Amino acid sequence: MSIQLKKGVLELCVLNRLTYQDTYGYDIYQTINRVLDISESTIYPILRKMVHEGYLTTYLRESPDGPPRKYFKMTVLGRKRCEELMINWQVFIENVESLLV
Amino acid sequence: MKKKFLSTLKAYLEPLSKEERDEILRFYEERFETSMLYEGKSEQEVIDELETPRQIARNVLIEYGYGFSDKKPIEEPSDKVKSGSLIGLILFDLLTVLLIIPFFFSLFVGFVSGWIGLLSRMSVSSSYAFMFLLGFGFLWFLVILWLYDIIINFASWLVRWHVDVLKFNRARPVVKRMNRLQVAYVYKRNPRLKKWKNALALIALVAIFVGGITSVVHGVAWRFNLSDNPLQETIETKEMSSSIELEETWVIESDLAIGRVRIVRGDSSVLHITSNELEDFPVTITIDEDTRRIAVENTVERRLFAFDFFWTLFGEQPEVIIEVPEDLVISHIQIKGENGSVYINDIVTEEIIVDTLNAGVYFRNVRANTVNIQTTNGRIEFRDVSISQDINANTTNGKIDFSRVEAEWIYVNTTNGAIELRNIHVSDTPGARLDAKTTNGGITLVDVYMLWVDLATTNGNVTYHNADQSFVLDRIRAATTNGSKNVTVNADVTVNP
Repeated sequence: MSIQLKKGVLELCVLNRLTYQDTYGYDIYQTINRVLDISESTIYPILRKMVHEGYLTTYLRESPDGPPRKYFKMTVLGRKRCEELMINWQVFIENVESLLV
Repeated sequence: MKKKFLSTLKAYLEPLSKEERDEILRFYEERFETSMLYEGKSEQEVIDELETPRQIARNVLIEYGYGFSDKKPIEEPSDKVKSGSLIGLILFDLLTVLLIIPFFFSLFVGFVSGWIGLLSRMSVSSSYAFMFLLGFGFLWFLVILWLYDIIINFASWLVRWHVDVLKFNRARPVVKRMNRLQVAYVYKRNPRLKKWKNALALIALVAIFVGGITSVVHGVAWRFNLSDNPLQETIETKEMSSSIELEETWVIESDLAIGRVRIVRGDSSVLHITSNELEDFPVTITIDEDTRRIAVENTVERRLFAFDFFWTLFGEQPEVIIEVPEDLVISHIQIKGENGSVYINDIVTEEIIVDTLNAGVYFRNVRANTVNIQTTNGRIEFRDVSISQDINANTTNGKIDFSRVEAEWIYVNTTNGAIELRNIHVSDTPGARLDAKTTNGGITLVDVYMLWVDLATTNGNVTYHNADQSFVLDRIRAATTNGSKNVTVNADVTVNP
């Protein structure tokens, strides 16, 4: 998978990961990395960008044996964005598949 | 390791705003903590897992729309050090080094002047001794050059080290250029000069070897009566007595190219002059009733390969002894000389002027109004000397040692020598003052009761202690650059340089 393509779907993957539960940056990276071989250094700037665009908010959560960690939470705007991207993705796949057949 | 990783990353993220950069760094900090805490990894393992700081920065900067330049970043000075203190530190380095330079410089100047003094006033025929000294001088010159290189090297090393520690990379080229100041660099660029240097060193070594060995062998052989005096000089004694009018005021003048002069008080009422002199250099004794002048002098033809240095080591010194009758009034003593010390014992006069080259100057129980001494290679020693006005004593390579001295104004100055003053007293004259200056030597004052004291040295310790602690000076200044200070006297004004 090309890097450009990966980056495009990365935002969707991040939002999707946060649909179920709030979590921290490294966890988001690990989840995505299990399937898409991405570089860790791209995920952090993306998270930050998404916070700035209002799709995510952050808060600090105490952890039992370490310093508090920064958790990401999806906003209403983020939820809408996620749905939008999901639709785009579906359309994209269908279009591509129709070309490939 | 983690720290270094993060600081390197930080340096690479220079183009970002502080806020953006901090955020990325926090992500990575958190990343370290999470992996170490929950996955039980070591710092190194996490680092191995991560990309290099350079790669990370590259990705991040591209993500933020910044260009990534492949150049190694100019790393910031560490947070702990302000650039002001960095400059201070470098200045300190340079200063430290620059202080060593005057030390060598004065050593050099002192030596060269002494050496030239010795060579230029050579008289007796010992070409071997001359060779030895000449070779020694050349070698010393090379050693000084070599020491100079070491200083420069040390300076650049010191500055480079600080610059590196503080990651102040822009200074590096400057430091690199410092090495060009070295003599070695000059040699590198001029191979011919290097050849000259090597030739000089070879000549010096040969001269030292041949001249030294021969001189010593001859000297020792002569000393143990195994051979003739190597200098073919014998001491002859000439005596002269004169009963002169005691009521008049007389002047003593001495101008000996070779030979000690001793001016002492005699037992009789007759002026008695004894000259133990070298055959080749007879001493002329003049007693002039008209001008009331007592003069002793000899001259030396300047023979290039002639020299009296070893003869002072192995032989008997020529010497002129002037025994002054107790009641004779002497207004001035003027001593000029080149080789041979000056001794003045039990004499009362108005003014004493000594201007000599290779000579120690020794005063015992002397009273006068003013004393002025100038010598190059020799110590100046005073015991029980009482001068009503001022003492001015200068030497280049020698110690100045005073004990039980009284004067109103004392000025002592040496370059390569210590200054030691004990039991110095002065009447309560306002303006009474002591100035002591040296470059490479300590200054020690014990029981010096002068109202105004000014002590200065560059490489040496300054010590000043009085038994009578109730004595309060008007003013004291004690300065040393590379030495310790131990001054326990009381003063109204203490000037800290």
